[in-house]
Amino acid sequence: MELKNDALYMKSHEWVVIDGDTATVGISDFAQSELGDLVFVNLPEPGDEVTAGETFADVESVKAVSDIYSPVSGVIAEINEELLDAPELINENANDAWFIKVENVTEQADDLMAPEEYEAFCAEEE
Amino acid sequence: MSEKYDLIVIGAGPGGYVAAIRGAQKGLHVAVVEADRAGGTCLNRGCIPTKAMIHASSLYREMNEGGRFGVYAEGVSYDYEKICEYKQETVDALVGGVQQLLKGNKVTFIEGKGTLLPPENGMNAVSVGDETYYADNIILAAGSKPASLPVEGIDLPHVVNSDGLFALDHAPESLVIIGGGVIGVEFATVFANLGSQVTILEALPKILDNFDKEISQNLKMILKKRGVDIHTSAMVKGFSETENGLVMATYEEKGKEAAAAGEYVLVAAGRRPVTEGLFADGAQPEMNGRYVKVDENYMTSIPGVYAIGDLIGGIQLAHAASAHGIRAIESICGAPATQNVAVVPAGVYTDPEIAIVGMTEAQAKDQGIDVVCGKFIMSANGKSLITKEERGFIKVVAEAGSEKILGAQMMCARATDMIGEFTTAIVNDLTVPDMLRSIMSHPTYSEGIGEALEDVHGMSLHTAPRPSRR
Repeated sequence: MELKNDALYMKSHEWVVIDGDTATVGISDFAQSELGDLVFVNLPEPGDEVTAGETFADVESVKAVSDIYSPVSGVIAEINEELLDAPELINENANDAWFIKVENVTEQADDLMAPEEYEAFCAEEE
Repeated sequence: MSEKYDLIVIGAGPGGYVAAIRGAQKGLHVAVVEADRAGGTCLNRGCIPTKAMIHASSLYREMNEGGRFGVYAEGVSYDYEKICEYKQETVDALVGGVQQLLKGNKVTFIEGKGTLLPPENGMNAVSVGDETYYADNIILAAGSKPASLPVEGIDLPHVVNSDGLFALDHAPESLVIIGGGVIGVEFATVFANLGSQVTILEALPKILDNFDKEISQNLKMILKKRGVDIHTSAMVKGFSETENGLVMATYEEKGKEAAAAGEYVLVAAGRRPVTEGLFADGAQPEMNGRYVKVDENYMTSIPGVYAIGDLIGGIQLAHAASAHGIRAIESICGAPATQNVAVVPAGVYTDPEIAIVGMTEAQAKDQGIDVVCGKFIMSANGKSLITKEERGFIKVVAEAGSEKILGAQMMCARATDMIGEFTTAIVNDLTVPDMLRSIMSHPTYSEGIGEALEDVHGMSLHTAPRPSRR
């Protein structure tokens, strides 16, 4: 698994890079590999609110649809439109394939882990 | 005084000819006035010829992709003129059929452009050339024509509308389509199939902007995969000719000027009602902007004068116009309404097809209606795997509590043929359990309907449960 060193991870396998009151969110390399080839992504709209620990998007592989949870509470500033046209970008490089950028971050999920801790968590899951 | 009719219909498109035939079936003495051939835009320049082009071009693409099924064809090619001939034969057969039906029902066909005159001695009147015809009732069904754009270069020879595009004798090497609505995405499908480099410039934030968000996004993803270049929120500024004989469309996207070049530009920016020359002085009924204003029976502000189809705005679809025509005849004959004209299914002949009826989840929410929804993704549908379909889905929207079906959105193979099941459900107030009483035949695409309905209760058999990771 390729870890994203500047990120924190959730137990549900999302990563978040927090910078002041803004945050960038994606899913982990472990998650994309577990999900398999992604064929569709449903993203919210800029301006929508997200809540830490609640679902904000879903991804679809040929096997199943999976919910994506937000690591922070705040307002969506930007969505990664490229993913909408090319969901395979997430499989190619999950660490670069951000889903949303959040502003006015007020809260973080209570289960955020440092990269090494997350790596150990994934090893246990396997 | 010339012959007096019970009914004169102006326009023999899918609104007008259907009204004329139904009127004759009801025993009315009917004439229909048409400047062109019978069939209107739908048969001659719209639904039918585009679907023929889609069929031929899809066949070409499928033959080239036959290797996926272990079927190989060498040197697959197409002859554009032959494709156009086949398209024209199909159109001619249908137009001939309509003319036969009009004749068989003893409807008088008056060739020429009909103009509504002010009522004379309590009778409605229509002029065609130098002749005046009288009738108790008149149905205006003059239809619509492609809208133009108020931009520079719109009159350049290689900037065409859908009528002009049909007249080409070859498939353009490159085509810039202005407008990502139904007409735009269907032509994009045809010419991308034939190998043209296609660019779509859409002013709104999404292609098929008035459709369910997932439909727009799914189609954009699939068209891009086929090499179609799509720009949304792109405002066209004008057209100019380049030195190498192409047309350049300049547009503004996210505050930046950009340009797309093509051998031809197709302007598919909606359609306008044909009202020029339709009304003599003093004969124009009350209007609603550029559209003719009508009541629930399609009667205008002039007693005995009705208007249907594209002239009245709203949903510009052939079958909507036909339904209006039938309703107008029922009103003229004092018969009760047989159809629910408020529920109009619509199809888009992309690949996969798109079909919708009733409300989307977002529309229901906007109207303050509490809904429950079900969705089935067709990648788990056996028939869709057999024919190797692109990603597709079926969504159903029902009222919370009663579970009355309010709408459905489908994007999958044969969606346009299957949407009728949901139309029947909506107009008959059927609920999710009502629809689930039917067994779906296997293996069919329609099994996806059953699965989407089951999903309303979280019981779709062929959907993997969403892993709960929190």
